[in-house]
Amino acid sequence: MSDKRGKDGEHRALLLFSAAALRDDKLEVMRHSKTNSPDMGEDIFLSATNAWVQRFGADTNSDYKEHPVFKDRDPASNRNVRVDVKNRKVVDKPHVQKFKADIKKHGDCDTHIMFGGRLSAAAKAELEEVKQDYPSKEILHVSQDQIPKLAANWGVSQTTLFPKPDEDSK
Amino acid sequence: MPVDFYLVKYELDPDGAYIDTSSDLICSITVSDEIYDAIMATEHGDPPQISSLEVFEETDKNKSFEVDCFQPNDVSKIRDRLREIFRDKVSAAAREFENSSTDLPGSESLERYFSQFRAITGLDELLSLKVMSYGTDAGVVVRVA
Repeated sequence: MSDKRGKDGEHRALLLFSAAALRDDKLEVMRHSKTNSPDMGEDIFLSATNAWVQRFGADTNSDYKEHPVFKDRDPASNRNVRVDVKNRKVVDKPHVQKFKADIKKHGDCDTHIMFGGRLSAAAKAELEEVKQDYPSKEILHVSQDQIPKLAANWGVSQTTLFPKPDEDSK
Repeated sequence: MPVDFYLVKYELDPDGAYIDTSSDLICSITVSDEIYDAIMATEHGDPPQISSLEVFEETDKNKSFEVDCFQPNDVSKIRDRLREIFRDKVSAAAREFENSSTDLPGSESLERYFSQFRAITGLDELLSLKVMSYGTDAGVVVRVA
């Protein structure tokens, strides 16, 4: 691991989504450059099919319901996905407020995924408000405990992804 | 790797505790690791200090977590350092553009400087808000992630 927690987390997520892309011909993983994006290239972007996003939602959220806007769309239709990796044990309310502000900056994305961490109670309530504020966007949170399952689904070894899990504190 | 700065306001409880449910993000800015490393460099003296702040999830204070914050006394120091960085970047940009007759709007170097200046001025605004509008408010903290 490097000495930068943020960098490690982003690259682990990149590794994971890249593994998913190897298993799905229509899934592409993209990273914007520092200068051409409002977040200085911090987020990960996916070009995915509607079917892939819905499968992803069901795999990562036990109470997942297909989003009404995308439910009846062609499964092969394209979805533009932003992935905001949270390298934290707890994702709090200000994190969700920033995540919301960044939705406005990425008008071309119809799906926004907060990836990692555990939502605090206030963050959970705030995320529900974000979903109501953006009814045309699909907004998901993938909690940290769901990530090993994704890794297993996509053939990524746990030791590659989480060499020293205890060091991912805060 | 970019670094996020958050200016967050907490309504402190009667014991002075920080509670997540009462938090509100005033503004945030993402800066490049190059700018962050320049702020934290030791060559101009002691770097700004980051400390862990305990935040309780709810008012019952049963669960808590920690966030990284700059010491309130260091916020002005960070702003001073940032302004030095800005001055150096402006000088470098001026030299680069003076020596280039082919730079056109949309060129890579112009985009690079715009991106850097956006981050620097955005962070300056965040720090200035803390210094000028919330200087004595212990509930308003500059977080880094």
